[in-house]
Amino acid sequence: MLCEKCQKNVATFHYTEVVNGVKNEHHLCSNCAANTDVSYYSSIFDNDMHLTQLLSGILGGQGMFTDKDQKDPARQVQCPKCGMTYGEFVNNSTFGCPDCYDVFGPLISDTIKRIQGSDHHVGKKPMLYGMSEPKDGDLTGGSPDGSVQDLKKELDFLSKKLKEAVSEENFTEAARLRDVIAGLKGKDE
Amino acid sequence: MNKWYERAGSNGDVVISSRIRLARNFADYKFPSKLDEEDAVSLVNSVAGSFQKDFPGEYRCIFMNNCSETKRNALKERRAISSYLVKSGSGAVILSEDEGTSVLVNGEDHIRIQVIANGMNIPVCFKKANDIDDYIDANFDYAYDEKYGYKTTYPTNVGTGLRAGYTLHLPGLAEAKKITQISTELGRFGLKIRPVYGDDEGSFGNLYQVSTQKTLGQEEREIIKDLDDIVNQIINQERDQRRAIYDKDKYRAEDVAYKSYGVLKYARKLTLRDAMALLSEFMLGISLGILTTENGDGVGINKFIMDIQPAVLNNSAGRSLSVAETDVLRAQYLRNNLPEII
Repeated sequence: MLCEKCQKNVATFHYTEVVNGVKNEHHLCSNCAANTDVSYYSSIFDNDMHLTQLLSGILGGQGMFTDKDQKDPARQVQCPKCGMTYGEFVNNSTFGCPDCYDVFGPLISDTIKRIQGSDHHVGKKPMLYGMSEPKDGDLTGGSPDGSVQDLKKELDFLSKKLKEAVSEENFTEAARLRDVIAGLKGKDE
Repeated sequence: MNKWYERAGSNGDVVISSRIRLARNFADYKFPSKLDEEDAVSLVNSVAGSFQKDFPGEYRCIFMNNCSETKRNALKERRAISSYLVKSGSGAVILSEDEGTSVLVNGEDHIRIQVIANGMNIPVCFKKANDIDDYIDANFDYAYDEKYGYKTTYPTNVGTGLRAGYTLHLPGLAEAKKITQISTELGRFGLKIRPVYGDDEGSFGNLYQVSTQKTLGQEEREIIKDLDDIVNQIINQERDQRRAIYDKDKYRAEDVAYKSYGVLKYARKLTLRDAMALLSEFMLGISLGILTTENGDGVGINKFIMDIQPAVLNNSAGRSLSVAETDVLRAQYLRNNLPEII
């Protein structure tokens, strides 16, 4: 058997890696083995792959697609920005770009709810969306004026973005930001 | 400056380390799997440039295409980067001097902010990660959805993009064969327990990671509070089991502790598997008060675990070692660095 890495020398080093019950056999020559991570480090700190395999299983297991269904219209749904098809999405369980959420989101909303127990985000939002949560003070127990500082930081940031939007004549965004700022100032008072 | 794993942490007899990770993406780029080379380079350079401009001296940028495979694997073994980034051609890591804070750029997601600390220290990790998140937020546009929250490559991270976890040393619960039972119970709370090191003959070193799984429907602070409540219970159970091991047969407990120290201190060749198992017995001996070192309780177990990994040893040797040479170097390292017992 040849080394799986260099494909040149005879494999003399064999080991089995088990991640979440899935066995992977590896065959390396002594040269490549010396250069390879054979620490049996189970890669658990990068566990996303295994979780998404689970998702693929659920999406694929819904009976929506089999090999016969290659021409199924739903499978042909495609994200216009990155070209990801729904079939590809089900197989890889990864989104290809931010727009994929609008394209595939409605199709997998129930599945996400089943896996996550919810399909609605609560918690921190980007500053552009108006609320910076959670406050540091809640976790660390210090900084009683933390929320006041955060609010000021956020208002400064939003005012800067509002000026940018106006100068770019992006009035829809400017109106949205103006409302967010008004809302935050209301909260302050 | 000391590395993060060279400092003492609270509940250090059970909690080896704490980790927070936030996954983020930018609105105006495709996700890494669909990103073309040109955009990937522009994304990585703009994030790295921003950190270099605003935090000179505090962070260094390591570009994966500029870095040997051994060095990348050594970074992975020290937990500074992910396996995905090891294989990536265009990714980069922005790393704090103590290596406790890393911003992974163009790995699985455009941005992964990771903060690790010794012992039980999630609030500090979270605050640091949150500050970096705010900094990036103020300089780049994040991909965000009012319903789904922060958009991520994997649907399993969408929402908060948060993963919080502890690495625990659980020799007592492992010996009492309670890990499977704990695993079932944790599942009900949306948590997961997994061995950190293992092969087909099972886990070794008795190190387990307990981490959060769900990212939608719960605020960050609640997710972390739930994790802490449960981990505190595991810590108490582990301490009870350790005491029970000693009470059941104190001569055996003492024998195991002293033998592990003896082998670690005098062996000439140690596989990772053996070294990890011995370090686990050694640590148990210290926490039970059987062994006392010149440094007291603060043995700095994390440093030993990091420093005896294969790529870290190869990297420190500055050349490619055979498996046998690595085992020899590992034994030598432990002989030279293990504290004296008194």
